[in-house]
Amino acid sequence: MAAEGLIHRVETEFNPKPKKHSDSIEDQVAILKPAIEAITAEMEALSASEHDGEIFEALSMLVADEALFDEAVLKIEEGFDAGTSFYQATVDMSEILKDDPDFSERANDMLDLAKRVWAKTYGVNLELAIPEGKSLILVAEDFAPADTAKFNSSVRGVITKNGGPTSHVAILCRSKSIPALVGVREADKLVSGQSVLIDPAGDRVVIGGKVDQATVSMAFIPEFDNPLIPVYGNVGSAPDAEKSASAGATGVGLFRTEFVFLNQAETPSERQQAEAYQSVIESAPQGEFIARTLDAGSDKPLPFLEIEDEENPALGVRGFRINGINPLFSGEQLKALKAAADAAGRKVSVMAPMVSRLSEAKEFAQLAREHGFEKVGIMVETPSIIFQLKHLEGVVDFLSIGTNDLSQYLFAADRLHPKLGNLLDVWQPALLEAISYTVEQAGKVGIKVGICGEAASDPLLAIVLAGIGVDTVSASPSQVENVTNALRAVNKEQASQIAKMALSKNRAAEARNAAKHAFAQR
Amino acid sequence: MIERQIEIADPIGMHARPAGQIVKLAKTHRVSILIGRDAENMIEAKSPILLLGKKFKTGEKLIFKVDADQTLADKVLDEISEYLGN
Repeated sequence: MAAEGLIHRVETEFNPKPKKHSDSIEDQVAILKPAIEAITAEMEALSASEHDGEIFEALSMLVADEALFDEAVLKIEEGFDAGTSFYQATVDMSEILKDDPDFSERANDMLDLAKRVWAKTYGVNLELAIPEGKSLILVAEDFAPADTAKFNSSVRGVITKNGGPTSHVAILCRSKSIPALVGVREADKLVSGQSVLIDPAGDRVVIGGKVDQATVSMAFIPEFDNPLIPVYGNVGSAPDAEKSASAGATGVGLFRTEFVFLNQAETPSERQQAEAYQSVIESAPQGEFIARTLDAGSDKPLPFLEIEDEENPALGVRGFRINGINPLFSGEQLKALKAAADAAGRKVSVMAPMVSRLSEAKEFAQLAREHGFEKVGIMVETPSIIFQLKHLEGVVDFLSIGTNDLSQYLFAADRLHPKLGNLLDVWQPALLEAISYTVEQAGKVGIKVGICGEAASDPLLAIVLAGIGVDTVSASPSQVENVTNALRAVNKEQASQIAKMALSKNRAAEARNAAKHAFAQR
Repeated sequence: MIERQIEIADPIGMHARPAGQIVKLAKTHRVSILIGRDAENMIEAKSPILLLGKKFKTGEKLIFKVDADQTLADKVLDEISEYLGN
């Protein structure tokens, strides 16, 4: 999917490096004045509209303060640019207020106002307050997962400087059908207000581009009634579940339970959890429903878990390892999931993330069965567990390969690293081999294998996965239809042949091309 | 100049809001307003921030001088008195 929109730069971190200007003093003053006026107007508007409007009236007077302006001009004369001058002048003038308890808050207010003026002079938006009713392409260094929750219908596309294909922005935007491009090193060149085309399929942003110029991705024309293997949806919320259902998914292959808890400061009670889970279960497509127990810590911090600071969070206490430090949580979560499943009148399966040893798999399986779950599984994300699959006979009923994290650990490459995107490409031969091996080992002990990572959202790769022998794929809701169509365009022999051609290559790009050709000539 | 002594009744002292209001008042009526603890240290009400910097506290009796005729000055001083919680 591609989209047109206006660039809307967002500064997610305030970093006022003092900048000098090479303009005339008048030019810089001409930049400063309207910026101050704009913020003054914003404060005046808030004083009229907000419940406690008086404070905003005071703030409007502070930002428009004459003496402050004069100080700022002095700084401009020293050579600093408008934004820096105003901020520095504010820092200086607010000094005197800081140690007085009656006035210290105003010092902070002044600094905040100065930040806004500073941002205004650069044409940058400080907060993630997205205006409604627009067509915007957001541009930032990065967005935290919680930020994406604030994306409203104005957000037509997202571009970040950091991140690779498995970064959260990429995944979350995909699940919301928002075109996104991450790891765009030249994102700084984009200017707020520019009209652009964001074209992820073509891996590009076209300034002044139109939607009809967007790259057309491969068309999969269904030939068979049903997809070669079942296609499920990856969900984190009730809307995701609904979307998967209407896209034709025949189950949920991954329910990310932690999204119910992001931004909570206290542990949600069992009942609160059950209610939240129930709403997702009820909105889900009929069929298999697999819930993944809490996968937090690391890049998905949850305040109430109280995990100490880690140097390497991705390699730290995450997923099922949390059971070691907060055992109550696992038990509670399982109880809540069971209660939700019962209330919704549906059978739900559970699986644990980040299982790295046989003992953990056994521990989790036992815990889950004690809580009444019939079908229990584990995620395959750590390379270590792949070598122990042969011992899982009778322990678990299914495996789900989380290709995003598996790639991360397999290639020793940070998922979020902007320069390592290539290593995390889902077509990397080593990853395909790892999947192949997993399927083979699991098959020997009668355990079913599903894929729920981003690999399963790539329609062509889904065909390869089916050809390798994977039993199910679970894609992001916006890709369910594409993946289903792709899997309806081949039969078993064709898929096997396509997989064989892809696996015969030693480079990601070649593997992808080989699969493309094989598909075209099937 | 018309002079008056006004006490700061507001428990918070002269905080941002009254400081801003006084500056605005001076602008609106196009008059010069001087404020100070004593005759030697008067400051013109042009910058709310500089007024805040004086840290005029509750209970202090400040001298106010308005450069206008009696009627206008009284009006202005009455308003200032209100702003300060009287």
